[in-house]
Amino acid sequence: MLNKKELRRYERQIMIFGENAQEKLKKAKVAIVGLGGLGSPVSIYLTAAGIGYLSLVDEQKPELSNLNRQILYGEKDLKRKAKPVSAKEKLKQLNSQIKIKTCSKRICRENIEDLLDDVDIVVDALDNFETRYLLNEFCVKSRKPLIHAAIEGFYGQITTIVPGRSPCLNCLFPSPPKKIKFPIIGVTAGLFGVLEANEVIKLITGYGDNLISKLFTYDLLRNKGEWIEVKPNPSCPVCSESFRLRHQ
Amino acid sequence: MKIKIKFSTFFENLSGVKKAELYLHPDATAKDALEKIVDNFPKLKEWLPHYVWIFINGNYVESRTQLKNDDEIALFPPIEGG
Repeated sequence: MLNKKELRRYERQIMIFGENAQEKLKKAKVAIVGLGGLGSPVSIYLTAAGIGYLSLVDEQKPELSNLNRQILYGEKDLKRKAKPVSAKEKLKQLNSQIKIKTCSKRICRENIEDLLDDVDIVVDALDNFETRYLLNEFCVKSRKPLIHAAIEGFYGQITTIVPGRSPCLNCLFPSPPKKIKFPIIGVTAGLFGVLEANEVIKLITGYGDNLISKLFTYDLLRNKGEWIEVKPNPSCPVCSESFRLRHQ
Repeated sequence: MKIKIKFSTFFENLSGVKKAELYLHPDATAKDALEKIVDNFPKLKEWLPHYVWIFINGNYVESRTQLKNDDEIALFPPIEGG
């Protein structure tokens, strides 16, 4: 049940999707893996929307060159605390009622189950495909939705992966891009982080349409966006088995 | 055979067009299509055939994949930042 204060706090969005949906947000548990350019707006908007529990994972400390886009941090945070610890302080100021778990270790095969087992949805706010493939494998195996986004310059992509219903990340991008120091501006991270938070809110509340089996891209320089239908790879080493089980 | 090309917004900025049609020999691969695209749209030479994610009819494919008549190829830049 929502208390009086919560009804008041969230009244403008309860006008959109009702009290039941707000209760679902309160009960939801979401992990945000990566607390950089994407993870900053994702965590801020999910905290503001009243997600009950957030699990924040990132092993780095904020650096000066992060500040053009990683809006959770300021000059005072540089090289002091790990990003999840610093982020939790800011997010608690925004909404003290949200439970926040932090992990300042790099996510890896050995710890991924401990870190993500208790959440309903995982947000990929990472900057590398090596760790994304790990998240994808875990989410397919444990049948948890995974929201993927990636950005570069003024351009980005996003899709929502629901195991057994949509292609997984390995179906879509089985080969990682060449490693580069990628150019990025804050507004691109901001837009795609907000879109990821929006996917989470829609998945939990059941309100609206998700980007399931749709790869959405947007070019902020020319104000052009589009999506294409994407399909599972029937011989995908990660998810094809889960499709077979589902359709048996 | 005839195939359709759909440029993502990123590549559309370089090609100047959203869609195109190509005529290729019957046993052409996605790589052959990319080479022909570069011939028609030289500004894409910096990216194709190496810096691209290729989808045919909604599925990711490698460049060696054999094409079929009426296939629709969509091209995306490989990005990984966050």
